[in-house]
Amino acid sequence: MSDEEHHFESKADAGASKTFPQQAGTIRKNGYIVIKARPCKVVEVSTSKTGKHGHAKCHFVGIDIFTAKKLEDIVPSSHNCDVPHVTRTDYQLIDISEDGFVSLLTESGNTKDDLRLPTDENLLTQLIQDCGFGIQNMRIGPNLDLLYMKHAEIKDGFAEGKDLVVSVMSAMGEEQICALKDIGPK
Amino acid sequence: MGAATGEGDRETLEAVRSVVFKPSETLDEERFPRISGYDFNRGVDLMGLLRSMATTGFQASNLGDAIDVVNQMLDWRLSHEEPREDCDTEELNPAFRETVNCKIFLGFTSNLISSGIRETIRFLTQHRMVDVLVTTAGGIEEDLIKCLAPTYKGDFSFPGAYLRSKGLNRIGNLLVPNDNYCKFEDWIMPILDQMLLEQSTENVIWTPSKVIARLGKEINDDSSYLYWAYKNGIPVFCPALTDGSLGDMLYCHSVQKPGLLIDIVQDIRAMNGEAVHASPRKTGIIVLGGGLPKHHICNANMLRNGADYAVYINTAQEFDGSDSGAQPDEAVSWGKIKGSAKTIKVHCDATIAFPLLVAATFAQRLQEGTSTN
Repeated sequence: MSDEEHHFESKADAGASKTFPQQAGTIRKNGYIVIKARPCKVVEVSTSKTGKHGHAKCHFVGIDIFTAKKLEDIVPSSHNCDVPHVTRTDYQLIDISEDGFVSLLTESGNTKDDLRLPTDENLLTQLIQDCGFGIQNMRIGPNLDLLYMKHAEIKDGFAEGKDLVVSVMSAMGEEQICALKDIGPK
Repeated sequence: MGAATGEGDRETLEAVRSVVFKPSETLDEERFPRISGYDFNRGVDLMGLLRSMATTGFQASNLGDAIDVVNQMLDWRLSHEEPREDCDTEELNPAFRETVNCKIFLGFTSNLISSGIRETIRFLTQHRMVDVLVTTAGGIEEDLIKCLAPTYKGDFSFPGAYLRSKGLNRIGNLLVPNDNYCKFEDWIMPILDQMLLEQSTENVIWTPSKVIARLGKEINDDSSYLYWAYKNGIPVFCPALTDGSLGDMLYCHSVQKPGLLIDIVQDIRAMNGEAVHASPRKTGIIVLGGGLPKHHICNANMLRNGADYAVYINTAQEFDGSDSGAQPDEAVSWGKIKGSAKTIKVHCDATIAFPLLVAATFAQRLQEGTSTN
């Protein structure tokens, strides 16, 4: 066996673990943890010392980073938990299609077209505020699709020629747009 | 002058005498036995000592009476009664009537299982001497934990903060190391996983008594009273199964693997059914301590218009209106014990009174070879 042998892995199939193990007792608030196979941000940690309930335990409350759902877990402090690798990547926004798909410019010059504008209303409002679009005082009738209105607002802003950069959060094979930035001249 | 004074004095003396020295009724010694304690010149004889309790006075006499009531529970047969009007043919058969005995409900608090009374109760379930058990959560887990690791003798005065720093939990003057509960956790978690699986795949509906029977089966250790209760088909009821380490285990387990359901409605059907469908058997209550076990058993017997025998052994007092301290006669007012029942309360710590009671009744008969079934 030549010790010059290189083993090439394609980036896409890195097999690199999407999570890494960490002892439960060392995971802190604002860190990340996997609960019921979902990547979560830790919002609360409390420990119960060894006692009538058995081994010392860590009680975690986490918020799913993609769905914002609250999840709970109780793990013996000496056990390992899975911690997700969470990455944020910025992409230049090239286009937004009618049905909400975004077209992004990657570092290597390719386009990434598989992401949509989020459907969560709170997140959308946040995105609009992030990039400085005015929140119009729209009077929304009962039959109007609020989601469509918010998507339209972003598209309008983009159409007006703003330079937008999209932040994409990625963890455990899932991706989501988490922020919009206006990098154009004010 | 002297004679008149003497007459007056004598009259006064007579008057005083008749007030102070009221002539007494002769007591019928059938109803009022003479007080006489045990004579150790006879040697150290357990049965002799126990027989002397009844005439020793105070709570010794109450214990003596309790021995008597339990012996009546064990002696009674349906053949001692007149046949019921609407009974079926089998019940008229004398041989059958000879086999029908009293159904005994035994209740006890958790601390007694932490104590050596666990061994006494194991003896009773091992030899099928009682029919139904009722206890609280600790009464279940402490028995199982003792098969994994022991409980130790300590002292009431050990300081709490010091014990906590050493990982020692105090139960009165007993000590249970934290590590014991860790062993319990390691033992029980896979069993809870299995129970959840059986619930979802085999449609098993768990109840506290079914959970307890399963744990008795899994512990498989003949020092455990739950093992013998499982083996001999003696149901153990514990409606507050979550109120102990078992509850902590269920809590932690359910966070990781939610969905385990435990049905207390089914168990109240079973428990009350034990009383309601006991007839033509008579029922007897033996309860150590107060709280849930005491009330749960008495309440079940209310549904058959009252138990026929009741023995309470506890240290609770009635002045605060507590059910724990309530004497048998209070239960009579509810219909939980029959007005005609033979009852007694022994005001004593059960760790002293109960082994003595069992020695004079259940154990004595086993030794003599008399059947208690």
